[in-house]
Amino acid sequence: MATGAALQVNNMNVSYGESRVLFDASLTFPASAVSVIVGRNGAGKTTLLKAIAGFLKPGSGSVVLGGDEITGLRPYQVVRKGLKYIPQDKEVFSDLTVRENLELASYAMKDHDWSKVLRYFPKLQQLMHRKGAYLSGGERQMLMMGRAILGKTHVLLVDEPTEGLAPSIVQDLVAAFKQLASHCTLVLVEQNLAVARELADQLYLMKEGKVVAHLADRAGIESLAFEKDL
Amino acid sequence: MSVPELAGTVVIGLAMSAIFFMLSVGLSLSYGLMRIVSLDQFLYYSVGAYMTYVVTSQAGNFWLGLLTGVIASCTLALTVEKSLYRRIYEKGVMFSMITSYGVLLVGIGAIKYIWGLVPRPVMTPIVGHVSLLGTTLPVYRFVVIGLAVVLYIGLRLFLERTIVGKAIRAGIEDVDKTEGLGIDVYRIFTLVFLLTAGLSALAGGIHAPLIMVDPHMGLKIIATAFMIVIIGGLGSIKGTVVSSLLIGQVMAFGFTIWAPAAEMAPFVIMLLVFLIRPTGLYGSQYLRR
Repeated sequence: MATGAALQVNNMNVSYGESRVLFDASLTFPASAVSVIVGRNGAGKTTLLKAIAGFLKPGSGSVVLGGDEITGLRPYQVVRKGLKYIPQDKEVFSDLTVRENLELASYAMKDHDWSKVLRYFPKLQQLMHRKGAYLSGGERQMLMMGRAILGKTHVLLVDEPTEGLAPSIVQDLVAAFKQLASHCTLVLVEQNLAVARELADQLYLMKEGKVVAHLADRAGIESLAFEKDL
Repeated sequence: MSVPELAGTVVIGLAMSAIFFMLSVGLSLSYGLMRIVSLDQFLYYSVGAYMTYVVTSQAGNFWLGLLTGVIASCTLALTVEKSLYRRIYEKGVMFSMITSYGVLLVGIGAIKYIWGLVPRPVMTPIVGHVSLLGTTLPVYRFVVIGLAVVLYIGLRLFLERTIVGKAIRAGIEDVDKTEGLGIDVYRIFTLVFLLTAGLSALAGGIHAPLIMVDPHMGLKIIATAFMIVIIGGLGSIKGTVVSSLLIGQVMAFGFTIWAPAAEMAPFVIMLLVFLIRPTGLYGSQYLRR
């Protein structure tokens, strides 16, 4: 394992039935850095995150979190070890209020101090009694992130956080990510290259289920272009 | 129909609804949360009734029998859940349906072996009667209705006020996302399974004095219970209450007016509900696995 790596994925292969969708993926995510994974639809980005978080069982390969192998653990066990995953669908529990959504995360992680959540996402304070079904996309994303940072959070995996959001909301989220990066390791899947360039300390490119490039220098990240590179 | 007849039919219908509710609400929660069709719940219904019969006839205490039935059924359910369901939760509805049907049949075989095929009567714990709108009705029917009301209120409070109840509601919407918060959903599954078994046993014990206890009593009530779950909407307590009330009254009036209607009408209602609301009366459109 590389020195200072918060999360390491080694030679991971994932299949859906007979169809293989991830081929020998190996990635290293340094501690307290923002890593961004980019690629077109179907490149295997979401599959990779789901397999890391325990929602998909890899055919082979391993996932190491801060020195502990977490391959094959159930998702709740992965979460309790400090690796959180925020899926791209922006779905929160629609029949539960914002308060109840946060209460569940508090119960699971045994952390009932919401001051951190409200510092990053102050708007949630006004929405405490609103049911999940009546939140906007941006508000749902904030709630999902708020739930995820309760308890110990060493690594936060976020799948397409800015997809479908208004530019002003995207800027708020980018600001929140910059703040969060000082407290935990961020791994983002992002198709918005402007956001990716602004946040990334390192960047992985995925194509057809394979990691095809790794950019760790500023110049390389800045020069990334959708048509040319993806 | 005269007023006394009407009053009697309504009360009998309400008592039937109360038993249907006790039996169906757990099934609804089980399917809503775990996506299983747990036919073995009808075994716990029968075990609840038989244990009530045994203790009532031996010790003369119906309520102790009821409690014994609930404890025996929950113990049996815990064994079945840990040894069987833990292996099949991920395998889909059909798998759970066939496996649980096997458990039910084995259980019925065991009941026949222990108590034989002859139906057994259970003494009514409260023998008094009350007069209502010109007719006389057993107090026990009102006790059954009252018990169901208390259970409904208790369940609502449990699901809305407690953190475990909120986790169950979240799991009914999306199990993966609930686990993604760090909640061990299998522990919640076990809890709901036991709750369902306890309610099924309670329904069996409470129903026992109103019917003859027999080995096939669980099989006889399967279709009605599942119709109530489907009409009400999977995972909805409110839906189960409304559909239990509806089916209880339809069956009670059916028996009074024209007996074949009592068996036929619930199916007609289910088909009508499907045409108007495929998710059931109060089924959530957000429900997913």
